[in-house]
Amino acid sequence: MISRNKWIILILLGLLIVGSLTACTSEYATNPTTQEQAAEPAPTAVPASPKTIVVEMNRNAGNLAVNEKLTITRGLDEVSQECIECHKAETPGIVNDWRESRHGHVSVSCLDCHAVEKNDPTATQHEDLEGTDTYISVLVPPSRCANCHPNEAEEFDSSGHYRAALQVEAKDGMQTLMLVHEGQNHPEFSNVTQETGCMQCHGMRIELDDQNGPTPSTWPNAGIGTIYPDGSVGNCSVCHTRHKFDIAEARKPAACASCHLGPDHPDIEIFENSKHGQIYATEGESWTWDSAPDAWEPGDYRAPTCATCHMAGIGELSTTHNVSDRLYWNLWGKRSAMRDSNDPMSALTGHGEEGRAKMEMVCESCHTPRHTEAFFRQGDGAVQLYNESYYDPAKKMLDELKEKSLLKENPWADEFQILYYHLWHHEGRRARQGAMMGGPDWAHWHGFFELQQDLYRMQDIYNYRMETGQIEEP
Amino acid sequence: MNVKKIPKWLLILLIVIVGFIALFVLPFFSWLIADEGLNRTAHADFCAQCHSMEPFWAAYQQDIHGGSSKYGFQASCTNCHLDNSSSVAYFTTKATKGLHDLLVENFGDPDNIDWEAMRESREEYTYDSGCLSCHNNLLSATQSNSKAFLPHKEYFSGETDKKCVSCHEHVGHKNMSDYIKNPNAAY
Repeated sequence: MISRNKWIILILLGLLIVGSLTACTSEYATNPTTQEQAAEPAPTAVPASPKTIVVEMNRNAGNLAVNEKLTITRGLDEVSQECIECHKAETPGIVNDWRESRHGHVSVSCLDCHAVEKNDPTATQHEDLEGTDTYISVLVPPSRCANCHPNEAEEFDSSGHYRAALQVEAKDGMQTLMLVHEGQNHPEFSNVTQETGCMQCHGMRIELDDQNGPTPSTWPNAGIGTIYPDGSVGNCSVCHTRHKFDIAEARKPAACASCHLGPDHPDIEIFENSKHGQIYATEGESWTWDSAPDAWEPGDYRAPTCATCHMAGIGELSTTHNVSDRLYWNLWGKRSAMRDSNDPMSALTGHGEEGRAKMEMVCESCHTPRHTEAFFRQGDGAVQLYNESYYDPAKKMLDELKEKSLLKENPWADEFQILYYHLWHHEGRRARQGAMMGGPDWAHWHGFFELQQDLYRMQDIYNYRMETGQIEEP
Repeated sequence: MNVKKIPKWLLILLIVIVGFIALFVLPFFSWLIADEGLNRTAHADFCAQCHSMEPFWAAYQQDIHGGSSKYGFQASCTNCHLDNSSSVAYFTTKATKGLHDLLVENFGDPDNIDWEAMRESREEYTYDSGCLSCHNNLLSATQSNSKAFLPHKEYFSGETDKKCVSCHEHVGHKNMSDYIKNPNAAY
């Protein structure tokens, strides 16, 4: 009896061992399949071992959720840890950016920027926060960035960038152009030219819906002058895109180029046309982009980018987020004048002579004083030629035609007024900005050559209207 | 005249006693009374007796600085709202702010003050010296906290004009806007 029981036990034990071995083997057999499926979005990943896959996946902003838990306890509050745990699956791009950011390194996390007080007009709670004391907003105004970066925000508030959305909002002519002409007074879609165009660079006054979230007609927008519900103005993530907020990114010309391009202010094209741009295009990839603020100097680069001249703490200068600080002229207005105003809402914000002195210090970090002085002599000449030989005569003709009621009511259907607009807003800016930033093709072919063509055509139209008293030519 | 001359020893004793009272006893009691007076008029239970202070009292009760924490530590109104940089500064601000509040509460129109808008000028009626008299080791405390290091470094090195409440804009009174709208809001 006893020996029979012993045999039964032995057989059962044997079955158990064989069973577990089979289970283990099948787990091993299925595991690589799971990993391969997981690795699909990252075709470059070579699934040599599970560890390798994890690394490759992360680099490709894949779904972090398929990997092991992303548990971060270092310096993070519990709620932020929970944010990350879910958002690594829901919005892996955001979590990946943050992981690689300097914010991530110093434990600045979700709630440090997104938490708001319960009764803040932008306060929201998604499901997982309901019943808790934590309120968040998708909107992070520059006033919140200023809590840790006060000087950067203050400098920005004195710069021309501050005005970007406020001036569009204030100008009736701009509103008419966007809604009536470009939007064709469409009952439903007249605002889309503003939504998809203007506000994506200039910014917009953010409006809130009844759930405290931003309305789709005002957000998302990547405008530098965004006006937030708390009244603060600006949008740091335009140049330091979220959620990496990278200093290196903002130092590259691409950060500026998403707005400073095209027929009316082809600044990136001018840069590419310049010798600075040539050197950048040749070897910029190998330069040092992440030196500490105020310590990014020649040697880290062989030629400047937009940020080097207009913002960087090169030589004795200090870093500034006031992009108007080193300018002499206003080069985008109808007629160029020396900057002389403390008001960021003024077209002449800045101080011309001080600005020029600072810019000369920038140039002389690499060039001789003789070179610098001669360069500005050439550029200043171009600006004054535009003022005196193109803008002034054009304005004089416009005023005379206006006085004699020889302008069409709709300026966008009147050839003379269209030419006038192109003369200052397109060709005139290209000539002035091309000259002042070393882009000869823009100064000349897209600039002064076009300017003289505009002027001669305007003179023809002017003469016809003055002689005949008629607007339309036969 | 038959006035008995006071003995010299008695005169000296009297002078000593009167001098002692004048120099030590009276100042001691007047200090005691003044300190007691200042202390009794420093806390929320005194300040909230004025009708217009009710929303701020209610919001303060909900806040960590009002004692709503596991440690139960409570800052007084005057810890934040008077200049704590010296006794003279404390007394001066106490007198001027106190007199101002007394006049407005009794002869002004406190119900029609836009308190919400007044929050924008919070830097004018809170004092960093108050914050720093309790958080007196803040500089070294924040040096070991990478997240707090950068903003406080700029503050302590004088690179920014910001004050404590510029960034910590809701400190001291939790959900204050709710209470301003409805002082009886219960939570």
